[in-house]
Amino acid sequence: MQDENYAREIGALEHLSGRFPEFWMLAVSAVAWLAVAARTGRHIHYDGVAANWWHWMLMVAAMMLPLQIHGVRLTAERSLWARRHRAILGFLLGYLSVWALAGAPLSWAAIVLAIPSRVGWMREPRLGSWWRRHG
Amino acid sequence: MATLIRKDAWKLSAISTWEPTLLWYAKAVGEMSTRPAMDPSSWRFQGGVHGYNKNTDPFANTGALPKQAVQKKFWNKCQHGTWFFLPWHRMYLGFFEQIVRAAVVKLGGPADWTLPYWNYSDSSNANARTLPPAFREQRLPDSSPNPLFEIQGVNILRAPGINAGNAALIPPDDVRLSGCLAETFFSPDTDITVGDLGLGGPATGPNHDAQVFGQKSVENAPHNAIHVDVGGEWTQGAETLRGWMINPDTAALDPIFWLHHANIDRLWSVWNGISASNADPTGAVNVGGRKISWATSVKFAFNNAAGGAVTMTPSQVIDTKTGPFAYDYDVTSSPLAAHAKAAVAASERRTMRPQPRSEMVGASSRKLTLTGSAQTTTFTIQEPSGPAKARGKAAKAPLLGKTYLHIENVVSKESHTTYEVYVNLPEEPDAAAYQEHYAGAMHLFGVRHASRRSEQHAGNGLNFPLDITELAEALRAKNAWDDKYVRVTFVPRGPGGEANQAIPEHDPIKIGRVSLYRA
Repeated sequence: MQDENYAREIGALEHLSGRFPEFWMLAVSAVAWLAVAARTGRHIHYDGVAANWWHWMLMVAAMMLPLQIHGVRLTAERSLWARRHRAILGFLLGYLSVWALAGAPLSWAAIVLAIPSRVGWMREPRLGSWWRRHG
Repeated sequence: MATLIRKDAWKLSAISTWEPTLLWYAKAVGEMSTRPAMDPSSWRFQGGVHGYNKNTDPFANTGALPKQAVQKKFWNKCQHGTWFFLPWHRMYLGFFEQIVRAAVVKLGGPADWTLPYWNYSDSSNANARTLPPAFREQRLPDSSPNPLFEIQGVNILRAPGINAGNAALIPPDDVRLSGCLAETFFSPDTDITVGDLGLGGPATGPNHDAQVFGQKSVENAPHNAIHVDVGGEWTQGAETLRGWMINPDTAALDPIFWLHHANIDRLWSVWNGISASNADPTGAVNVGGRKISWATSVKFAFNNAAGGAVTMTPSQVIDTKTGPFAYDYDVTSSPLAAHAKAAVAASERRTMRPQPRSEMVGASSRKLTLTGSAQTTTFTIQEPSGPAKARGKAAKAPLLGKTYLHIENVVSKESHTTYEVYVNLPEEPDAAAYQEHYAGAMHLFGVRHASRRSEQHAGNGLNFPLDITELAEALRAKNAWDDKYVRVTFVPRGPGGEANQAIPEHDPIKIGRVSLYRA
């Protein structure tokens, strides 16, 4: 009975957000999955460091964020109630910034490794197929 | 197989210091300690199952260790700061008892030998808080060295007063059972870490290094307190010595470890017997997004008396009598009088209690460093604005629920000094003030592991959620509580277990933050 009163007083969303403060992080992750899924099947153009990096961050958001549920719950538990989502945001931005930094050189490397598709002589069939096999 | 009975070591000692159960234990320990560390039934192998570190191994230069793969599978497996603490140690003790029994039989002793237990909480025994004499004698009756006192020529390190039989080293508060046995649930049904965490501790995955000790968990007290008190920390010349019991990597090498844990295991049975609702966890808990069932999700590996590898889940050791080890204790009734008549409402019959989610209402902004003198931190607190406020409104009462003081991220590279925690202690406290403002003690068993960056929790240290609901109410009643700010004082415990203003300087113990929670 007391629990019912409590749930009514606090509201369903607040109750949910108290127990699963990671809900919006999972929503961000789900959107990132949709964005990644929308891109698959299409021909991917390695057309710029920024675009590659953006794709990298989408993958990170889709795959790595859900692994942080424990950290997010701990952050929420250890913050003032009114500030807990701000604290979670800070925690996640810190976490993502490490991946963002790691992604920068890789986004560049992806272009270097994709050179054959854009440099004329490398598109020569035999050389090109050698690169595709060994490159 | 018939059910064998584990007996009270002090009652056996009352018959004689070398009552056969104790004498055969001593002889078997002697026999096991002659076996090479690679043998799973050796004293050193069994100690390594709990924890091993070459730097603190008193036998580091005597013989080869098990292969890396074997160590990885069976060593450093003790479970702490988790709801697996009780079942893991029950399994550990079960296999150990089988191994000792086989050694006893080999030496010509009884085939029904059982591990005795050390009941330090027995209020009918004035000596309860000292070691049974068999652990303090230097010689066996045949005048050979006593393996309960020295192993392979190495003296078992214990706090000096412990071997002298000084009961003051273990203050009565450390062995009080009114906390753990009064718990009405085993673990919370969520992965909360601030709040009441039950008799059994927080719901976690497998957890070797502790992170959180629920105040009323049997692991916090008497378990951790006894480890720290018996092990002890003292200086000899320029050197700081630590007893084996204070360190998880050497604790199980001290034969008293096993009697201590037999008692902890017994307290679990006592708690089960208090009420039908004092049952072990059944459902699964969402731990950081993973569903973990206490009873069946995690398998733990051991070696049996025949040296074979075995795995077990907690579900197999819930009932000691019908389980694979088939034992019971001579006494499993609760020593707390109030329990005799305690009737539990049907609505409360739940094995995992949904704990009210608490919200932080204030926290200190600076780190605190303890080096031997009393330290105080003061911080402001706010009105609850989340679940605690809603719960108060729903109940039509301004302050319904619980108040917790949370001591966070306690790290220490060396020192295990016990500090007592006081709330709103006056500037010049008298003896009565110490009693009236006492919130609890920090027993730092395992703190060095918890402070290492390379370990499971990256050196984040230990956390102590202290339930100060009743204390806050008592302080409010005598106008010593303020809803705007709180003052928390850490006072070192003196060598005789008393609250002291200052003790000799020790290596720093750092407290990351102190915070207040309402639920």
